[in-house]
Amino acid sequence: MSRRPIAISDSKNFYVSAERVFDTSLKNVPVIVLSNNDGCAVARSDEAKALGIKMGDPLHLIRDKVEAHGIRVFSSNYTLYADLSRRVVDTYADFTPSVDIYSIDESFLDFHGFKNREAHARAMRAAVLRRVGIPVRVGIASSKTLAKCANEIAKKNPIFDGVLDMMDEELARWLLPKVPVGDIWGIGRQTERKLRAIGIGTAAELRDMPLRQARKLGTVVLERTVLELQGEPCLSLEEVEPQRKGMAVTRSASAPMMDFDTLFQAITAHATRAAEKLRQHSLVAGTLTVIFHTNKHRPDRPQWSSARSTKLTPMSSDTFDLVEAARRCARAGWPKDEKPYGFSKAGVLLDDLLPLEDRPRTLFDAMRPKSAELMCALDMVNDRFGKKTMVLASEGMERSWALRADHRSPRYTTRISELPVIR
Amino acid sequence: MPLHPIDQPVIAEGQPMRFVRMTVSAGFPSPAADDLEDEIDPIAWVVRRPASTFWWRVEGDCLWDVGIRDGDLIAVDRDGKRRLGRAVLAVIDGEVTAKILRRRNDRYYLAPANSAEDFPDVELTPDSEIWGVLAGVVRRYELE
Repeated sequence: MSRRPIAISDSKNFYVSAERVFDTSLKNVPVIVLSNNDGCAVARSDEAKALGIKMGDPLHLIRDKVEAHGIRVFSSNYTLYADLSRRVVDTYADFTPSVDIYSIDESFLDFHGFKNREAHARAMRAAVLRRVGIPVRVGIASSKTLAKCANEIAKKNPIFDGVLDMMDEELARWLLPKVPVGDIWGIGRQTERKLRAIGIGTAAELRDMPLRQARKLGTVVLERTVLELQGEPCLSLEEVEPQRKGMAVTRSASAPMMDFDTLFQAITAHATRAAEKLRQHSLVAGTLTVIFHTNKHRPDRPQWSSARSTKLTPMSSDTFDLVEAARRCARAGWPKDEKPYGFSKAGVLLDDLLPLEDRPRTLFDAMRPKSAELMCALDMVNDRFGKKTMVLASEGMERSWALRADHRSPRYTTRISELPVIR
Repeated sequence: MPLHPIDQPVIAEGQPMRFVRMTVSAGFPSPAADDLEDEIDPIAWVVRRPASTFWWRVEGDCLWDVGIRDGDLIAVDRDGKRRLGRAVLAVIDGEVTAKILRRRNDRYYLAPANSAEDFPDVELTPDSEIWGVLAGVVRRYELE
């Protein structure tokens, strides 16, 4: 059986590493990055982990530790992270013919055909660190699940110095009995419990599980994981981007939205973003849904939850069409009684997506020949002068619903007004 | 020749036709059409490695000796070769500072990039961190 090597490269504490590229005073000090709306810790430096900060710890519960140890706290700066992520991926592209981006900080890479894979991975790792300033770790194996395993082992054992090539079956035989079954990609807490109940506690034991039993215990997904652990790739390197079927833009509000205008400002912003995303991918949507609801964790307050859909005819990616459709949905879903509802979340969902060129033509297409030009101009303005330079007036100017991001670092790489300064 | 705008959509074979709005001269084809080239892009000329090049804003006279002035934007390539005489950004005591790479008596130093300032040279050690190498500078002047 010819086994094709797949590598996974992931960035260590990516958001923290990204903050450290420009703010050099963050080296060797505890740093955490907060989730959207400054809720909980979603990235921690090694120093912060050593202080006992856990993934998902809410900021208000760790304030004492933050103050006592001088932990540096940041809001997420996705603009910066996305730009650095793109640069990391650009660097990968110099080391492999095929990059499959799995998330903002993880990519699968085709490592087929390189003689000394470990040296190649080390050269790539050094290049990413030198060029972008982001430390990455690389796991190599003949399936994605095994590569993830190798990556996990490299992460936990400093002796591997960030690179582990597990194509060597001898090495895999020695290492897999040491990997807890819960650490394997795709094994959730429930499956882990079921597996442990029948005496399967390590990656090696799962690898040796009979396929039929695996399928019975955890459906075809678990069977596939077992095959992957045996080194047989079932999740191929996706070289073609799968076609999107739906798209969603939803956000929590910083403060409860009490009146229709405030809610509709948020919904306008979400519909505008959704339309931009459609146009980026040259798609049109046929159905639009607006959702909004109150805070479910406050049962003492009046509760309301609404989801309303409408057809987009003709199918469209025009901001005006989407905002108008969203307005109809929001109106339809707005409570008819006068209770003081405070809406904590709103979103716009798009379905029935089609490539622009495949959309069905309707009689009314010709009515607005300028729509495409207008949208093109809108995108160009916002591209050149920064996001939200030109918006629909119904989005409002105050953005009182917008997320809290009190500790966000500058958008160093995408705004001329926020460039890092050398004195 | 007068041009008349078209008010009604034009339908051909059941499909609405889009018109590109531009004036066309109906004489000979332009003899220059074969020689069209892209507009020059000096920024791309400065930024030779987009993945590793980052822009910084200069405040004050920290890079005076290499002709860089207050308010200039500089492109810094993290992957640029560290060569003698080159201007670099170095991390010293957790802070990024502009320096020039120098050599004296077989030892390497980070010297100030502004000789008017009275900063001592810092010896370059294996632990010294160089953030990047100066790749270029962009300056603009008031127009109003």
